Amino acid sequence: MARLPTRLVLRLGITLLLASTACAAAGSEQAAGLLRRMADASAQLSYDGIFVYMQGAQVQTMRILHSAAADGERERLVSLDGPPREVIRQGGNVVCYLPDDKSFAVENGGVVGPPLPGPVPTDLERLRAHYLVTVGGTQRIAGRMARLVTLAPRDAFRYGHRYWIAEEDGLLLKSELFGGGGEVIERVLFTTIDVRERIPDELLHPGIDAPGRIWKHGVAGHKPLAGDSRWRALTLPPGFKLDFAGRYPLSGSGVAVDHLIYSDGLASVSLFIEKADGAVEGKPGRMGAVNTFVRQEAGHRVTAVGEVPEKTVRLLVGSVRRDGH
Amino acid sequence: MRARTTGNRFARQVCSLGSGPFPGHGPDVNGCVMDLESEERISALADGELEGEELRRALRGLRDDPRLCERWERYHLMGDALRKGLPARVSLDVADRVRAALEREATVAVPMWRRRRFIRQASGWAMAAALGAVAVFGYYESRVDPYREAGDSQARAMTASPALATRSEERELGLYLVNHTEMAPAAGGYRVMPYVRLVSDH
Repeated sequence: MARLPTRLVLRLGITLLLASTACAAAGSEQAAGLLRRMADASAQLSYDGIFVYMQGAQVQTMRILHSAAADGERERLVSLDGPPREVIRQGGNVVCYLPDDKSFAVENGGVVGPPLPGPVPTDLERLRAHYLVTVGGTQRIAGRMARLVTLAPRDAFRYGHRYWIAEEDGLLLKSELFGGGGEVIERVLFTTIDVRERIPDELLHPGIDAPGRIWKHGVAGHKPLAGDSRWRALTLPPGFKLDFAGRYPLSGSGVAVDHLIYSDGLASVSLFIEKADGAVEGKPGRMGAVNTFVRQEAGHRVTAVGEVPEKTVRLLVGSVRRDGH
Repeated sequence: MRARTTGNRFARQVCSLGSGPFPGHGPDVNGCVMDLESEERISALADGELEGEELRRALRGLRDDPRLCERWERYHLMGDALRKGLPARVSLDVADRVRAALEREATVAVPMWRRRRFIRQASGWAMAAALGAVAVFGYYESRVDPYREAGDSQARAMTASPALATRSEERELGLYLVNHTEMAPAAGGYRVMPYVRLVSDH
């Protein structure tokens, strides 16, 4: 009688061990599946939602309208607090309506160089070396059940991500960007999100045209300049690889820049290299969750911009050299 | 009042289109100082002392320069305040009237205008993009503690500057941010996220 429980416990232990190993593999598989589903849902569904965006002490309410019609994706993002601001994306074109003194920016994406790797962290094989990927429990967010996927950074060169993904349709209901100390840097939290058959056209037009105001739509496309970029960062943070290197006139200013993008598959940093005199030396800066770092190198100004800790922009900018020396 | 200079073209447009509901706080991106002569001309204009060619020049100046436009409105506000107290809601159609008056002026050299407008539009665009991004984000110099990450010899080689970013640096960072946002894969796969950062009012 006494041996039975021992054997039972042993067997149970082995079973649990096997189960947990299987779970780890399954967890990663599950995480990849959930993230892929999230990416598909955010692109392929039509929805209308309101969310709160928190960054530091700032809180903003915004509305997002996303239309996935046969003629392509359209998206309208409206700030509901403070000065009305909007961003409208149609295909590769993005128009930012930032009224009054802010004016608006128009960008045309996807023109330069080869297509970039997809924005979705589905390549978990690559990410796993630098992020601990786990699938957590379910939580109720915006009235819907969501599953938590966490990508926790394994070092201080990147931030962590938490995604709460709707079990029903894969929409992202909440997300957090967090630092090494666990502090939340940025948070998006939907309060409502409705999936629609279609989004009416009129809801996808800018709603902040004051009487008589003329909105200019235009495209300042990037036209690549001849020649490859001769600049490279020589010391990369672990896991970061060169994703893009090109030269083009910066839209907005027309100034020729070299643009390098380094990414670990999730976080990315842009390096802009521009001919400039002067002695801008080692200057860190921050724009929301984005860290910047500027430095002068061989008659050029090198600027790093990325949603990564300061340490990472600093390292990348510090090691940028022309022609590899 | 509102409509600060985000590039002449745009500001002029805003200036001439009535009141925006929000106080502007944009920096003077033109980086040049309004000359005294223009100031005096606007002052004289506000006081109704100008005539003929002088009047036309002043009006052209107004249409040309959004800062003058603002100044003009301020003179009018001051005048209003002195004469009858401020109205409950400040009328900002002054610039509109100026523009209408100008458009009636046959003496304005149109081709020249067109050309200048075009140039302004282009530069206004650049500033708009940059300022849009930067003003929306707010730009913070990080704490001056550059060598926390000891051991990075390259970082050590740099000297940190506690100086605030200049306007032109802000503009540049704004442009970079917009370009980065467009070209770098969005973290987390949620494509709207980078734009949330752009739209958010920090």
